[in-house]
Amino acid sequence: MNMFAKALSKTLVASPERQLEADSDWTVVQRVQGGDVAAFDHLIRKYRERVYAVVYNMTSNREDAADLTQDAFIKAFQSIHRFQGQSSFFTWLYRIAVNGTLSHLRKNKLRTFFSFEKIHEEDKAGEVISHLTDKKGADRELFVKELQEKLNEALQKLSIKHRTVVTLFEIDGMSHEEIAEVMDCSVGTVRSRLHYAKQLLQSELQSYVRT
Amino acid sequence: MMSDRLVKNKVTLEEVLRLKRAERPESSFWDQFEQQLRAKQLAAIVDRRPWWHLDFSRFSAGVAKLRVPLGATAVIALSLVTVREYRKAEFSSVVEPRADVSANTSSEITHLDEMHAAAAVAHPVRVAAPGSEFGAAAGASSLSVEVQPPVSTAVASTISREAHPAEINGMNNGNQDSWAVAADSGSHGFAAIRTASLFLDDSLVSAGTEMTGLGRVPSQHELVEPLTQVTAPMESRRERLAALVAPASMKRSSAKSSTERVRDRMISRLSEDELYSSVSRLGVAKGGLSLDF
Repeated sequence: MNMFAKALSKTLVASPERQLEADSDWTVVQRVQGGDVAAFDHLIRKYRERVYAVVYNMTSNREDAADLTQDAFIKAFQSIHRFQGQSSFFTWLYRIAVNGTLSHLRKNKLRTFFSFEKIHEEDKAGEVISHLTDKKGADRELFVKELQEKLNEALQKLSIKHRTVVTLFEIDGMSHEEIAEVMDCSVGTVRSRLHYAKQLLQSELQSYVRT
Repeated sequence: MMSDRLVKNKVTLEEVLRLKRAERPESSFWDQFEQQLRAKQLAAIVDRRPWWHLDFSRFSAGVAKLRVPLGATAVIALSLVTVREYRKAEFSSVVEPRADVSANTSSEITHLDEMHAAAAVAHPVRVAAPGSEFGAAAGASSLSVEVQPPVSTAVASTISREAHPAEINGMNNGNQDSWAVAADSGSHGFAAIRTASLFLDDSLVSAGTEMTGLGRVPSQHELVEPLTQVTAPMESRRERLAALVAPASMKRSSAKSSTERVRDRMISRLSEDELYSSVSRLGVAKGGLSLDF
């Protein structure tokens, strides 16, 4: 990799952790490009949960999410020789996954079928649910299920691009700059979309959300 | 349906959205995911990719090096083609319907014929017949006629009336149908012969012939149909016969009166019936002509 590309990739990575991550990914990518196909498994295992989460939250369908995540990894594997390190590998992989999901959602705009993953009440999720309700046992499970449906319905009411921004920022925890790079738009556009999406979600989830 | 009173405390939107992070598949899901992914990966390795998925980066890099020379070559080629087309159009364009005529005939009449205009050739006719028998008959060594296509359908046929009064009458009266057939099928060759027989070069005039009472040269604005100047086979045949029969001394003679006398004598010897029968024996088939004697 030339020095310019290396420097550019570093500027696009937000935090030092991400920078270290990008450097280690680049080493693995070079091994794959050199013919070590098995090294790609390392990248799959590292990013499969995160990619799956993004795709799942965009589609609200676990089967579609699994297929689209697999397709994203296959495309990345097929095109790995074209990756030259201008951006970090995870940004590049996210872009492939997000573009594939956007294409899928546009094709199946009229077919909206939800299938949810179970909410694991660990860490902060349990606290939030406990803050919302005193119920225990089956009633609590029912409450959580109803909340999950409301939340996914509200997300699906957003446009595809607004939903993507909310998913990447609020759920996956990416920075505005990284989202702008993944979605190939300006940071201002990302902020604008995020603001609009939050306003709409606020009105949709007013039963649970403080104004 | 859930109401506000069932919710103990409201939380922020960010906290609600964080619940989505907790939506995770079971660990068994990843085993199945990995198996499916492995199968897809193998299929992707084995399957041939379509040509539009091929990597064109090497090709585009090669083209990028040749960008400047290729561009320059394209510009030069385009200029050459443009200049060539422009010049071609310049040559083929019709400026004015005109006829450059130099003839040794004494006078002319204008004969209009719409039927022959329909059969007229649309392309300009250029004939140069040096030393042809027609030129020899007129005492000339060269002959050139340039006729350009007309704009209107009117036909101007210049015929020497004084020299051939009888044949004009005969053409108009009797054998016009056969004349039309022959004229229509004769195309450019006939046109050339006809025009050659009528209009001779200016050089003939300057050569000292006494036939100075030349036919009226059509003005540049006068419309002249090329085929209108085509002589009927009968007429040209008559002239050819007259030229053959006339003695060499007479050919060289520049005296108008003697030439006319000889011609009239020859024409009088050839009966009208004989001439018309020879014309009727003119056969036209598949673009060719045949004469039966």
